[in-house]
Amino acid sequence: MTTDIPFFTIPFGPCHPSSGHFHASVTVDGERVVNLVPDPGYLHRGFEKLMEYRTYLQNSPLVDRICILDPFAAELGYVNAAEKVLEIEAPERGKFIRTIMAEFGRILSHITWIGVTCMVVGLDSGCKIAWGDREPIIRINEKVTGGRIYPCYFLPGGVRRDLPEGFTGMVEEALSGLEKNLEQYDFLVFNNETFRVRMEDIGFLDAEDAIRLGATGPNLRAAGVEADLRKDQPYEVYDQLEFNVVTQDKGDAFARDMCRRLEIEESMNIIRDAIHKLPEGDYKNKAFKPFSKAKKKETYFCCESARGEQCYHMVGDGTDKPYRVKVRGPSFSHTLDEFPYLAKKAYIADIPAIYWSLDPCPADVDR
Amino acid sequence: MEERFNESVTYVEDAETTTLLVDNGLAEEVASALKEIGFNHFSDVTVVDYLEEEEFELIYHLWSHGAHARLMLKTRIPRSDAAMKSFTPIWRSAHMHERECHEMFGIDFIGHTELTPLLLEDWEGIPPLRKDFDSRKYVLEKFYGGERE
Repeated sequence: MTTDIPFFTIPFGPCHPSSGHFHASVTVDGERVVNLVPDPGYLHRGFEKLMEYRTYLQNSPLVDRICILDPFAAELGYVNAAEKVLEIEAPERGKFIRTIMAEFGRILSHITWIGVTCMVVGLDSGCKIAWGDREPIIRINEKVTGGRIYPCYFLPGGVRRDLPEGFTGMVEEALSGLEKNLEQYDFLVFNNETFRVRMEDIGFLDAEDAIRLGATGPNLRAAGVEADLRKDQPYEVYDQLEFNVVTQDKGDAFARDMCRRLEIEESMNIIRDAIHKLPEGDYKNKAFKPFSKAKKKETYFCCESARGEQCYHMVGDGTDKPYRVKVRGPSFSHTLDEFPYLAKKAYIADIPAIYWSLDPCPADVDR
Repeated sequence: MEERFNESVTYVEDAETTTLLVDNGLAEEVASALKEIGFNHFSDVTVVDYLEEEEFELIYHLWSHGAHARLMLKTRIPRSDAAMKSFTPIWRSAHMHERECHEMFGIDFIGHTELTPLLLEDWEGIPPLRKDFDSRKYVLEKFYGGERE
């Protein structure tokens, strides 16, 4: 039987269990997607304009809100860029603390991603377990920063307060718990047929296309490109720490998933190594004041967030507020360039799986 | 690069970044040459509105995956005639970034195939990231009737 309506357009989001405040118009021919037009903006809050009205200190908690899933990376990029235009430097201990917490942010983001991805492929128990496993790390966040989800912890020149007493024991307890959880994820998720059947051999992105479409982070590394700013352009104290860059060869959705899974272990190694090497001393540079004035200069600073390249272009004009801040989030290219490219010719049933294999954050796209 | 463009490009290099300043007419040619020498990742394009100088500064952020090098390519265009050649033919990933700059600053990217609204909904005022747009005044008038205690 042939159909009279060869092309049919259906919305993917913004109220869809797997789209997360993102809308795309999907044109289908039967089960096949022929076109996907992204339509972001549901979470546009105008951060770049807001930051022009606020001091360098006030902007630090503001940038947390750019991406709820990985606020530490947003702060880390911001404070590094701000330090360059303010011409102050964080003490070594401050940098170590920031590195440790940024890696906790990465782990938290990846675990959340495991949960959401399980949900969209119909593996609901994986979702519940992963979301429950966030708790020990969220408690560390709370103990260290005072905030469970939004830390407001990094400041230009260091961190807001020193690590609490008993931090090392708390971290070791959380990490050994996480090790057991990872074994559970391997059994329940990454070697589970429900998951693999949905994820393997879909959404192929080779190295050439990944670079052409602006992919960064795990999405690029899953295509076999060994690109990680922590190694390629080290910042904070990453050059003093031992870790490997996780890559995969195949470039399909499952390769991107495995990249994130294996990165959790590398982040755990970084945290253990950093705690082992944590120096004594000041945790913040007292030269930074609430109304510190920046120099007339500009900078572009990039850090490796859980999703990829998180950058800030900052222009200082000699006052206590930035003249212009541009935020470049990794999800911008992943959601608006790669996702439509991978969706074409895919089955409509694979769209949520492809979308979540890219680990997008609509809040980060819209800013 | 230095041989090919000698005096038309100004190099500024400090400890953190390398910057190339070029005339806007030459920017496309320089960009193509940069792509050829290995700057294969188009990270971002930023616009800075210098209201007093009546100019927009466009800053293209490039990265080379092979050489692990970052570079800023800067050019200026007049505010009164805010048009610039699109870099989409050189870097495919410039497409959405240029679309955002068009929406937020009203810059016309010549040769771009889809300069339609991206993030804003039914926006009719001056592009909101321009310096002559006062977002506090806008919020006060739109949501508080012009006054707020």
